[in-house]
Amino acid sequence: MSSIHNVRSRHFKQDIRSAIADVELRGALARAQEQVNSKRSKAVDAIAGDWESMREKARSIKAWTLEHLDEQLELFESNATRNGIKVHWAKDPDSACSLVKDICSQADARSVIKSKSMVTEEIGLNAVLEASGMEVVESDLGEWIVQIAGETPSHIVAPAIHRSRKSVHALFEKTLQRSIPDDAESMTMVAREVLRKAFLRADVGITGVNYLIAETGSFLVLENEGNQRLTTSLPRVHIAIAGLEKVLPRLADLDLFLRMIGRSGTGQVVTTYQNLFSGPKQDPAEDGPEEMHMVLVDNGRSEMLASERRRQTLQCIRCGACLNICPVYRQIGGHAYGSVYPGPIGSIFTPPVAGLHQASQLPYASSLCGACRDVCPVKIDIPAVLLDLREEIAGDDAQKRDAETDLKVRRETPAFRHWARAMHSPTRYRIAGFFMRCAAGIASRTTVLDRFIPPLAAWRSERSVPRPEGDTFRNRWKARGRQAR
Amino acid sequence: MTYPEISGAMADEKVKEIDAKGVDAVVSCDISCLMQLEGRLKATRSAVKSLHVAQLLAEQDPES
Ligand code: SF4
Repeated sequence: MSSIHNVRSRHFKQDIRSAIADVELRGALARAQEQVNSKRSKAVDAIAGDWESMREKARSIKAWTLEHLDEQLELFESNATRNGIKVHWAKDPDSACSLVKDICSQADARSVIKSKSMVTEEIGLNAVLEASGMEVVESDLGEWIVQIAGETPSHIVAPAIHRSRKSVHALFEKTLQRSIPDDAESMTMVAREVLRKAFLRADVGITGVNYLIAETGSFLVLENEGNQRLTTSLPRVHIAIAGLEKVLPRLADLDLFLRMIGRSGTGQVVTTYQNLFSGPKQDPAEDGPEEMHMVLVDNGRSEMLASERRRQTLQCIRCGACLNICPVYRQIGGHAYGSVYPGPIGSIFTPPVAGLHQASQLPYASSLCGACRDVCPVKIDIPAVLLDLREEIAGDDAQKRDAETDLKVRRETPAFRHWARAMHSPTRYRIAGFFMRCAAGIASRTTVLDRFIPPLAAWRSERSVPRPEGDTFRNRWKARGRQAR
Repeated sequence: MTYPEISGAMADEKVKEIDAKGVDAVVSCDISCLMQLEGRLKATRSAVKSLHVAQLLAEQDPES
C-alpha cells in the first residue's frame, strides 16, 4: 500500500478471515482497547459534566472554520509567511511528494528523519524519497517498529498496536543482528541508541501537524516521546505537512482542543509534549532549523467540503478514539481494512478520497452501532456519513461496483423495497407478517429454503431462526384491549 | 450479513461474557440482535435463554 489511493479492497474478505483467525492479534486488540477506554473514561469523568459542552464547542469551532476554510487558510498563509515559514500548496499525493522531494534535494539532503505523521502515509512519502536515494528514518518508536518490519501503521495513534512485545523483540534482534534483553526498557534503550545516530545524521526533519493557527501563522504538533523535538531542532531544514482541514482560527482555541485530544485518544490529561512552531531560527538564536516549510495537502478534501453531509468528516482531529471503541476494529485490527486510515474514521475518510468504488467495502465494514459517534470529541456523526456513502454506492451505476458489493446491492435492494412497502400500510404489514411467520416456521425446522435463498444460508451461518409459537402479539394485544373495556 | 465473519466474532465475545455472568436469560428489544445471540448461544450449548422484551412481558401476564 503506497498511498491512500491504493486500497487493498479485492482481498478484503480474505484479510478479515485471516485477522479473525489470529487469536493472538484479537486478544492483544481487546486488551489494548479495554486499557485505553478505561483510561479515557476516567480522564473524561474527571472533568465531570463539562465534557458534553466541550464537545459541542469543539464541534462548532471546527464546523465554523470549515465554512470559512478559504479565508482561514489564506490568513494562515500570510501570517506564516511573515514568520518566515515557506508555505506550499499541493493538490494531490504526487504533487505533495515532489514538493517535499525538491525541498530535500535543494538542501542536498542525504538523510531524512521523521516524527509520526499520518498524512505522509496518506501521500506515500517515504517510498518517493527513498526512490530518489535518500535515507528515511521514522523516529517515533511505534513508527520505527513498523518501518523496520516493512509494515504500515495499523492504528492512527498507536502504529504498532498489532505487535506483541515478544514479536518486537524478535524483530529487533533480527534487524540489529545482536542479542537484546527482552524487557521493554532495554528494548527502548536500544531503539534510542540507533535513533540518536539517525537524528545526528539527518539533514531534514519531517513532521505532521495537529493544528495550524490562522491568527498567528504558527502550528502545533503533539508527541509523547520527545523524538519530535529532536526531529525539528537538529536538522537544518524542517518540513511540516498538513491536511487542509487542520486549521483553527485562534491560538486561544488550543485551550479547548488540547484538553480534549489527549483525553480522547490515550486517556492522558494532556499530551506530554506540545510543540508550537512559529518560524525558523532567528538571528541571535543558536538552535533550530534554518528553513521551515509548510506543505498544505488537499487530496480530495475540498471536494468533501462541498458535500453538506460529508463535510463533517473534516472536523476530525485524528485522536483515534473511534478506533479504540469500535467493535469491528476490535475483531479485525487495522491492517484488514486495507486502507491507510483504518477504523471508523478511515471508513468515512478513505472512500471519498480514494474513490468510492475503489473502497466500496469500507462503508459496509460497520455494524452502525454508533459507539464512534458517541465518543468522537468533535461529534462527527460517523454512522450517518457511512449511510450516505452506502446510499451513493447502492444508487450508482452497477458497472462501477466491484463484484462483491454489486452482488450484495442487487440482493438487498429488492428486499428493502418490499420491506419499505410493507411498513407503509397496516394491511400490508399484517399480510407480510403472516408470510414471515410461515417462512420462519419452515426455516426454523429445515434448511430447504436456504437452497432457494442463498443469503439465508449466509445469514444462518451465524444465527438461528426463531420458531413462531402461540398466538401473535397483535392478537393478544387486541384481546387484552377488549377485556379492559 | 455482508461480513458474517465479523458479526460472528463480535457475537462470540458477547456470548462469552453473557455466559460468564451466570444469568438465566438475555433480553433485548431488537429482534435481529436477539436472533444472532440466540444462534451463538445455541451453538455453544449455553443454558442461557434469549427472550424478546415482549416475551418477557407475556410471561408475566396473568391472563395468558
Ligand atoms: S472521527 Fe472523531 S473519534 Fe475518530 S479520530 Fe476523528 S476526532 Fe477522533
